[in-house]
Amino acid sequence: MAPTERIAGFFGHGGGVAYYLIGAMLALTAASSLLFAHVWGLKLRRDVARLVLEDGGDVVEALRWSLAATGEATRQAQAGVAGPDQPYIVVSTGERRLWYKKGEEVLFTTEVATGSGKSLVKEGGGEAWLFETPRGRLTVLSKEENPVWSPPDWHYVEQARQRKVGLVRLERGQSIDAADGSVITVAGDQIVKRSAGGAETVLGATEGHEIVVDGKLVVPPLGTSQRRYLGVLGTHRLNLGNGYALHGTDNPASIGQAVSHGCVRLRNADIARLYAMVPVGTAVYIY
Amino acid sequence: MTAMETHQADALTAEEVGRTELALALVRGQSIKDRGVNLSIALGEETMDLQQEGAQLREMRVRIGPEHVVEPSPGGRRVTSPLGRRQVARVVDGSFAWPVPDWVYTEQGLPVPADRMVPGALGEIAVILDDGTCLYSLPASGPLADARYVLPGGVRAEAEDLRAIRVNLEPGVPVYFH
Repeated sequence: MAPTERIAGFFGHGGGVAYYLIGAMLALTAASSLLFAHVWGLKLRRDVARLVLEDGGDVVEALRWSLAATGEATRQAQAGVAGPDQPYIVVSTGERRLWYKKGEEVLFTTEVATGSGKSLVKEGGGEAWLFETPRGRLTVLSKEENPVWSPPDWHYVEQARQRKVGLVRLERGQSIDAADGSVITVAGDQIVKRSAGGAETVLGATEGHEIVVDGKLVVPPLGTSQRRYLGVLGTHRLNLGNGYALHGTDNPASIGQAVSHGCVRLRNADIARLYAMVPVGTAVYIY
Repeated sequence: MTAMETHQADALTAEEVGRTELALALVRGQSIKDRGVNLSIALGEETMDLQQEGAQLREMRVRIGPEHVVEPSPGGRRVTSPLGRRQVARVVDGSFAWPVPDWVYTEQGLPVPADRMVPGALGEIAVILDDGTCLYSLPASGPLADARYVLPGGVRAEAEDLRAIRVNLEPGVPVYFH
């Protein structure tokens, strides 16, 4: 007998039972599917819970809903942060102290001098320089031994006002005619004084002993030797950008006070130690 | 209670504990990831950290005010430390007159004065959060001057610590309780 004839015969003689058996099989299949879906749902919930516990991104997502975190905080958290195992520098402007830390462990700490908080009105009035150490997060961008200080404009304004003298800017290619008949000008990277007789003298300038001509303090052009002071910043400097730095000093008595123009000043022995310990890229948190 | 009911109750309790622990871990995680300066207060450890991006800028020992039912049942009002994220509303100094709750006097067996606005009640420097929670320092006088008493629901820090971080505590700075 052919298979098709067998099947036809089976339904012909016991059709009712056959339909009952097929219905039972379909019901079992449906129940199995429901059970599978339920188990899969449980597994999914378990995995989501695990992700919430183990993955920062999902933690943030969970926070958005479960703790009603603000959109801004969530955006900031998702942007990522510095590695938790990286050492970092902390500076307290209030206590004028610096810590070099890894996690909660203090690797090094010392006294510092920070910004005075004073201001200095610029030439012509109006705007002013504010000598504050900036708060927030900075980064060690570069390191230097025996740093040279090129005084910013405010240094000359401050010096001129302290000495109650005027201020004159000397630019390359220009000269200043002095009352004694000599001429002050730039020759190469030096500021020189040419006498009426043709003799040329290189003028010296150090911090607090700037060039003064006929009652006016001369602002040397950038790049000249007279605008490069060695030793003022001590033995080492860690640059933080925008003119700010951690550096040493030639005035150790100032450490512990709010006297700087915004930089964080350390004793030379301390900045030398920090220089050796701190890699470029280290985060610096100033509060 | 049958064994089944006991089992169900234990399971529910465990679920609540787990949920709370997860919430606390999430709050702690959020404080670490906050890119701005924030305060992170660990209630169990009684520490308060000024931190940024998870870097600990300053660790401070604090005293956490106990949980208290300040008015007797029925309808008792429970005062507890907050959990989760709050933010700085204002920083005040010793001249600030704080309206001391009447129950602070009652708890200490002191007569409740007619005028409860007490200048300097929160010490020489205090931080008031957006929900009214006070981070305060020990005052020289007033109903919170007893060093053994910590304001229920509040946090007492050293004045020296609050002074050191004051400049960072602008309105809106997050404070995470976990």
